[in-house]
Amino acid sequence: MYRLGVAAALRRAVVSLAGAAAPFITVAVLWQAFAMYGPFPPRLFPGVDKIVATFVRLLFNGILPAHALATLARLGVAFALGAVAGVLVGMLMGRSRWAERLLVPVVSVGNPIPGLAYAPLFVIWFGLGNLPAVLLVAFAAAFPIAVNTWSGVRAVKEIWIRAAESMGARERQLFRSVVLPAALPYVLTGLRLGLARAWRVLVAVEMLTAVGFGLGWLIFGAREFLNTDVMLAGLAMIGIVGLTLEKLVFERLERYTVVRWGMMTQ
Amino acid sequence: MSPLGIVLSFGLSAIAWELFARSGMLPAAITPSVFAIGAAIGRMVLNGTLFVHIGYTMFRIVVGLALALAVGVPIGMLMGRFRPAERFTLPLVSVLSPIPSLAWVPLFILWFGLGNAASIALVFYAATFPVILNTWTGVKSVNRIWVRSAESMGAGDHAVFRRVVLPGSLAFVIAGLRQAFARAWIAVVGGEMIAATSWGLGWVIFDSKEYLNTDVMLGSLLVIGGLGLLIERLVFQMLEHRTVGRWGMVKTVRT
Amino acid sequence: MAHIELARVSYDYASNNGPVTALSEVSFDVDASEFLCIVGRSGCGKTTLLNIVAGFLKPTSGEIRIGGHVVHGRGGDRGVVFQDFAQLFPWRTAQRNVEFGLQVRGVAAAERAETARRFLKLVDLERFAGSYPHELSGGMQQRVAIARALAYNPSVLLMDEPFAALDALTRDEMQRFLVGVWEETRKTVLYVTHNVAEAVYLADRIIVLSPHPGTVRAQTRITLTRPRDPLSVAFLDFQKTIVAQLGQGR
Repeated sequence: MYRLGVAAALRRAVVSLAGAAAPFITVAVLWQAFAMYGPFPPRLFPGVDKIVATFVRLLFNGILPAHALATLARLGVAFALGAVAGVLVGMLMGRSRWAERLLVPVVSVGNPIPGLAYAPLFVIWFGLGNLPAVLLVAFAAAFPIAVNTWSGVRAVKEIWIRAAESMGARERQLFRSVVLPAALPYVLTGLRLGLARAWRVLVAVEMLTAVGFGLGWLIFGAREFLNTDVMLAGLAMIGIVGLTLEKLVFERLERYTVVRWGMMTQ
Repeated sequence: MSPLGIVLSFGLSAIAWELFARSGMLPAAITPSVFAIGAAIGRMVLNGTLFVHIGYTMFRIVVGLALALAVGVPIGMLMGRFRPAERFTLPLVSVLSPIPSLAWVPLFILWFGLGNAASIALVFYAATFPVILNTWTGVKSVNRIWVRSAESMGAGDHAVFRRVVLPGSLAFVIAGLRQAFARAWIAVVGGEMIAATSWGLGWVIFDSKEYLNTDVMLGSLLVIGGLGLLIERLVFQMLEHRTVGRWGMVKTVRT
Repeated sequence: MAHIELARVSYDYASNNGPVTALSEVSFDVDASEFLCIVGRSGCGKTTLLNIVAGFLKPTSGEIRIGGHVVHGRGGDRGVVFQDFAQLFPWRTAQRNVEFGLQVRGVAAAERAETARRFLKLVDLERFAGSYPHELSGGMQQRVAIARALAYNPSVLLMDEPFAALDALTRDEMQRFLVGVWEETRKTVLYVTHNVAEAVYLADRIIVLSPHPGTVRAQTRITLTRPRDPLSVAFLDFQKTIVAQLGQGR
């Protein structure tokens, strides 16, 4: 009886694994077919075997991890800077009429501008290398953070403020115990969007600012010698890092936001 | 905000920038005054180049978006309707969509060469995922009671799909289109910069770097931002108003 | 002559605690143009029964016939009105909602519009033909739903507690209104409710369903003439009888 149970469970596991792998296997097969019989020469469109071989090679000789780490480090620093700036600006806009008036056009016109578009400007102002890259990403990330924080501060219900004031709360206390918690779900949403944006801009910026290390730079540099296998290995790495970020960070953040929303259903 | 309020806001920002530019914190050559920026934009308008660049960029976006819709909506609908389709496509989408579209630029240049094809391919890549995901969600959240009502009135599968599932999921499809546009905008401008195609708003920025034409650069940034905002307001908000807003299915948010 | 016939209808479904029998050997007939109410407490299976007659669920055993034909999934000969206001299509105006059944049948546009307006007039909502559902009150939406279910001339009207979500005043109004519509159109109506007074007010005959599993416990013919006075002694007598039937064997 017990052995039957184990066999059945094993079979189920294999089936579900096969099911999960099926789409990727299909794509790999199609890719290989296209690589072998398609219009592109093998240099331009390497087969799956070549890509996997290159990926493994670069992974184990430390090149891919080094670049990935460089990118992640920049992401961390830039996001931290952007988050601080964004939250401060957002809070300012929410609390002060004049700050709002002054900054709304900047923020609304600035938001749809792709972060990358500022890159040449930043390069001119700060030269090449890490500094403009990090500042640029921080700058781009700050926008959605600021917009959402601003919404959050504005969303604090008048009725809560009145209740708190009638119970004797003063400015400082009001801010800490009413405004902050009420705005928190919005701020978290903003942080999530800001991180997503930072990630996307960073990879692109690394291509433009000659940072020397980084996944974006790796891909960009590989085109010199038509090393498409390196490019694709780099893209695969970006995919893995991106996916990990999705699962570990974004989804956690989202769940936390949702939980908070649930607690604060209005 | 009232029109007067908007004018006031822009005025304030312009003044603040002007002060910053003249403060000398950064060399004057690279912090042009508001007037210089305005003049740069004006020049481009007058000699028509601005419109050519806008034209190229818009062309690439529109074609890419159309392709994304043509491919993404059917896939999303299939995913929403058939479990096997969902189970097959979702892992692929989850793995591909965290890769920033711009990461593909160097590869696309090698594959498609410089020029429109690469840009359009990039826009297509960037726009398809939001369209697929939103359409999928939209189909899945079509209220079952609508389907039942339609069926009880004698509607067959085809009629149910055309007259219930399609309009019922429209709110989500539009949301998807909105997100797709935002991504596409980034992809097209960024792509034009990295790939150094010969026309387009992104290229203007890239090119102005050569001779440190920061006035042109900032001017183009303003145009990019303004245009993006305009399209968002004019096209999408109006689209939403006319359809799902009118039907009370989505509360249109004013940001 | 029986219009709707239920013969030994049973329904089982799977749950976390094993198979559950929701309905067991339910049999009864509904005559043409008769107004039949099914009354029972929540959970007795009356909605399940209605869903089976409507064709949304297949009975585990037993048979349902409408007009002599066995019922199967897709409708056309029935009109269904649910309790949920959301049953109207939000992307269509009131008129276009009512037109739906006709449109599915390929009726030409001009004729559709005219028929739809006629039915909207029947439910006294002519003026709101061009309004969207979210612009109408709950009672109005239910009226549109009724018009929609009638417009393509089904012989049977199935209603699942359509007025339960309305406030008491609107509900009374709607009950009076429904009787009026029924007297004019003479449809065969199968109406499900947990509200005894409502059932006594509306029905020619009341079937009490007992729960776990759902079975027919009693059938009572309501011999009052319409319009009925809910405060009359005869009315209250009937009400007491039905309540007693509901309370039996708990």
